[in-house]
Amino acid sequence: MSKLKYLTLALPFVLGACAPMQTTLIDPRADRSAIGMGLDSRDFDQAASKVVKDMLRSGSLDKPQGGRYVVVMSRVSNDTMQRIDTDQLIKNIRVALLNSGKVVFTTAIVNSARGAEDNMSMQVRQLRSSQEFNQANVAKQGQMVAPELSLSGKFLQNNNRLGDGSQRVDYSFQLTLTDLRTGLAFWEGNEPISKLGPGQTVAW
Amino acid sequence: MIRFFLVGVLIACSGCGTAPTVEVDPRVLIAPNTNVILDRIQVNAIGPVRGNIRLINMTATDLPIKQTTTWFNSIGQNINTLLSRPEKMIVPRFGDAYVELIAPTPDAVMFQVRVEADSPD
Repeated sequence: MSKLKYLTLALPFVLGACAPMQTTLIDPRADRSAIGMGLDSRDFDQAASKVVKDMLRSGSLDKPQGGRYVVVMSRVSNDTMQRIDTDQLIKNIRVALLNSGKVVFTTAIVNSARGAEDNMSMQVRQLRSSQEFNQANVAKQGQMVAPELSLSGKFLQNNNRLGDGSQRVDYSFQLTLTDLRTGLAFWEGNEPISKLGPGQTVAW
Repeated sequence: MIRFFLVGVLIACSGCGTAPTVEVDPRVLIAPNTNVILDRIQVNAIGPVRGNIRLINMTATDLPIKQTTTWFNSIGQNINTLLSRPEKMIVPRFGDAYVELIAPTPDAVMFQVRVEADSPD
């Protein structure tokens, strides 16, 4: 009987503990949630912001004769233990660079098995033979602009167990800006993101 | 009576003697209890705005902070940019840290930097 009484008393506490956490909207500018050993959007934003500042400060995007460089996005590989869509970071960088007024990106170049970023640039050229379309708006031959610079990169991860039982995870985001005419790297950046946490945390 | 007055003057003067000089700039907002001090702000407004802000920590503990730089155009409109995302940094004990300023767009002419302690809720 007494066991039943204790069980009845404990039941509300158990149920209360299972109450779901209330969903709240996060404003990136006032995000005070805890951080983990993995990478989240805050890490991507911070790394992207730093490489963009570094690139703008370096002057490598200042075209000597004025105007804007045409840049193509090359391969950005993920060598971490996490599943990362590299576009999440790269898109931030592209938007920031485009807004800087120093570069413009081309989306018409085939750089992966998926084809060009936007296949439409090539597809609309098939309208040249169509009698249904006013040819004034159809792209003529020789109007596409070839890229002058290429942006490529890599994500790296290195885990270390420390002497006090804690774990250190060093991520590294490397980015290279290559002059496509000469093949020379105009600018290179390496942005480390290091985290220290309990040893039992898994960083993937 | 005069004795008390003289003692008071001595205490007041000794208090003033050690007070550090703190730079105040309306473009830099440091939240209370952050414990970092604005040391100097250098801005080059010729061409795109660029510069840096030096923050110093006079305490014996490392201070994790978060800085957010908001950029404005010439008519005071907020510019939505990646460079306005909060940036976490640590001002080491008895050391300094720099907030780097680079105009994110050609029309960015004004900025405001907010510095606050970085601690999860």
